[in-house]
Amino acid sequence: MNLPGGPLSGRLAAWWNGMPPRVRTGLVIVGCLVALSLVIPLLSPYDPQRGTGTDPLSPPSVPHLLGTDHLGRDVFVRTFVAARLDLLLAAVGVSLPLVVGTLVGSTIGSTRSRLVQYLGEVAIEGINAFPTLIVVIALIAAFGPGANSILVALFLTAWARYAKVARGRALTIRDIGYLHVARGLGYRWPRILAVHVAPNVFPTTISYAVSDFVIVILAIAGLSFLGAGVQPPTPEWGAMMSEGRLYLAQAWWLALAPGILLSITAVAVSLIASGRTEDAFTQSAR
Amino acid sequence: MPSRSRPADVATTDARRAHAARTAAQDLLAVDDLTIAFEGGAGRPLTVVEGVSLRMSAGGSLGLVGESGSGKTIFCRALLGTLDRHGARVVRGTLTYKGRDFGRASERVWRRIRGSEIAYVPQSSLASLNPVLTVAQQLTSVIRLTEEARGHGRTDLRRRALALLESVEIPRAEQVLDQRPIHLSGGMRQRVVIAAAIARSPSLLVADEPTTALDVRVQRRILDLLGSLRQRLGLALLLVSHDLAVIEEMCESVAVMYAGSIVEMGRREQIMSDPKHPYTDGLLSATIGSDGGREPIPGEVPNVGAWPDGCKFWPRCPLTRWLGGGSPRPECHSGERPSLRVVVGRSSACLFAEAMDGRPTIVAHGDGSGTP
Amino acid sequence: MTDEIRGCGIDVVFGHGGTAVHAVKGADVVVGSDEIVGLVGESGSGKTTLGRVLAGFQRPTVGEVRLNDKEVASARRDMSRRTHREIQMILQDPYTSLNPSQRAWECVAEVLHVCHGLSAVEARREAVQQLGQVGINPVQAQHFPRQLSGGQRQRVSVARALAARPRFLVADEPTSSIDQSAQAQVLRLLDVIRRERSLGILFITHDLRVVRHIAQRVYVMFKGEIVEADSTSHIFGHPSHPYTASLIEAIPGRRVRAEIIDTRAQA
Repeated sequence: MNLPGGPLSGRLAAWWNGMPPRVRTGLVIVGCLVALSLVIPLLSPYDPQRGTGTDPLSPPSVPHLLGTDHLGRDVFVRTFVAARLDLLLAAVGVSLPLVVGTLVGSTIGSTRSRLVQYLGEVAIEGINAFPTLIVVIALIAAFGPGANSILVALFLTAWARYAKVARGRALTIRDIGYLHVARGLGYRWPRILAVHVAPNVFPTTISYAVSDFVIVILAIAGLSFLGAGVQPPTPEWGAMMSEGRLYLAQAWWLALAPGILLSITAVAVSLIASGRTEDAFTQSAR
Repeated sequence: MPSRSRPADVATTDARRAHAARTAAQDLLAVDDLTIAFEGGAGRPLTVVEGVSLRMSAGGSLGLVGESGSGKTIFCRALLGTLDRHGARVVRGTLTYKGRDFGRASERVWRRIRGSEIAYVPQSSLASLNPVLTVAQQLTSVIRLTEEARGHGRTDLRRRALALLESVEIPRAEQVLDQRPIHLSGGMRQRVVIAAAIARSPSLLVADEPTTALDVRVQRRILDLLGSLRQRLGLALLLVSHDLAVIEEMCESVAVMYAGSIVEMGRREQIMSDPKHPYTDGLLSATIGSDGGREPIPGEVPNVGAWPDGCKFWPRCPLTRWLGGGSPRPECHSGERPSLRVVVGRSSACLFAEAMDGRPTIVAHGDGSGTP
Repeated sequence: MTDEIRGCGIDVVFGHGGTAVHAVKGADVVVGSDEIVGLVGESGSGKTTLGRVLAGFQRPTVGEVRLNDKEVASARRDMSRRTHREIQMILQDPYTSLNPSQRAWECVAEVLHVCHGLSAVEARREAVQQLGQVGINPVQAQHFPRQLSGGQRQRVSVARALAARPRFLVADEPTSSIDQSAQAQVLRLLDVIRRERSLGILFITHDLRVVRHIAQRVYVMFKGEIVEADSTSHIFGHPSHPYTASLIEAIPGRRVRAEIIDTRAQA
């Protein structure tokens, strides 16, 4: 049987037009950033990790659009390689807690077992009470600085925040009609969670994740700036700003470029977050 | 140069003009070609109410029958001047109350007649009462707005509130005064809302599905209350409902609304026993039914923005197919929207209203009209 | 082959001691194959609770549910998963009874896949066809619940319930939240499936009008007790309990009341 569906371009166009202009602006900016961060490292003739022939600390000019740093490396290519890294780290730093937190929170919120509810709430509230920074410091002390330590530390503390959001949402649908029906049809727990609870909780937690992305990317850059995160010579915005700090008087472009791009990213994602992402997923406004 | 008219012509014209003046003076509410639209996405306005015309006289009762998607709720909002809160506005036509056109009036002008001239009873009493305030507080805040209550003290206001509750037949009114809405039953709450609505002695009461959320016996009592209030206070009642039986019981005149337009309008007895529009006929079969039970109308009400051309009912209409030998008559599905015209003493928007007798597809009514 | 589901001496009490609510008191109901039985009462009458007991969603405090004279649920025992499937429930609110993230065909296909082991492809094809039988065309079958009207959603709920091949259906006020002509469609649909599949349907409602032409028997419930149980024509013709009489008296519409009085006079 031939089942008709809408034309893809029609639905995409409708979705795009349904967004407020500021959200569209944010999406375009992020899209460009991602594209540039992938393309520029491929197109640039310069190696981000090595010095070029040019003098170190030379100002922006035609071959070196953002000048060179204190080791003679091209700042332009480094900035966008750093973009790729930062965006990736932040995406990972948000996605893992999102998935784990949503699944755990959904289970706790929709279960009828008092034991699971109790244990789950204790775990979530307990972990949320822990200051993230302490965990980060502990992990760095144990395993040394680096992107991995940051990600692990973030994950250990962040999943509980998502779980709390997910639990709250799951509670609102726990006694709702279609869940009763699912139980009445004899569906088992894994199916109920995967098909009936989680898909209706994810729009809420994804919305939360978009806002969280800004916090995470700033945390990564911040920790790297302080020397606890990504280590030189790997290009990373925070690390670049830290190096550039020493040369602010002579070569302001070293710190400014990554700083501006970081700010642009944060603002662009905030614009997307301001657009009620949850509703975009569920189109709940009738 | 106009020819000199004969005395008889002049007399008839005068008589006609006098009659028109009298009728116009009697009309409490006169709606003409009212068209309401939302600011749609992508800049195109979305019409939700199209070309609605109706009349109400002082103390009369008109029932507006419409299902969801008929535009009846938006129409009620237009009668209260709250369209702009919902992003809609009148794009065509007039809404005349006591001789003055309010269709495009400002909020300031509407505030003078909203509540004091035209009052509203909505479907959900919980949503229209403040959960934090007591019944007394809410009623006195309305009573304070009336002329007679200017400058009166709290005891006097409370006395008036008590009188109001008694006029809507609330038992133990003294106790109810100090309760909050959440502690009252649905029927009691609805009575409080009605009390607040009549507090300023309005001339027109617009009731939008006032009993739909209530149990049958409570519904009966509320309907009886509305009827008795109408008689006692000389209120005009515009009752909006999807329930044809409720409208049949309460209203002397009936207007049937489909997809934003009125398709038939006239006196209750005519509409109920001898409908001249296939939608009215279908509604009758589907709601009140005949001895054989309810007969559904096939298909669905078209969504706003996706209205068919010509007569909006044509995709679901058995009459057009019967007349066209199986396929719908071209006059029905192309061309302009049919407008209301007088057919057998009432108004119908069906191009083939006269053919409504003797058609085979529509179920027979309880009183035997129509053919099986 | 006629089946029968029976609720015997059902009591349902919520809470304890002074604040206990006696929702259902000593109710005896029976629904057989190929019949529609109305359960009529106003809010607080206990009709929904009784319906949920029969459908296995609520354990009775006292009493038992018997399917073909075999006990399937009681104060000590929840209904088994298998029996649960035999008695499906249609809920009142069409806006919360469908999973918003599932298309219409998906929720029916899921039942076919889980309960009858159909493959994904077969289940989809069969689901679209079964939706067609309740008046949902293939285009509408692709829609999410938010794109469907209240009446359409109720019909999807019916299709989902029927896909489990139940022997009984408990319909809890399925027409109360939808428009009149959509109501007629749902009522017609229930009558058709009753005949075609010999289902037994318990139709819970607060409005006697609704069951007048499709129910063969009616139970009238008031404050937790069944006050009258009789054939539909008797209930309307000669109501023996004053509460029933007051329910009939409350029916709006002069013509309907005139018809009822006429039929009464003829009887």
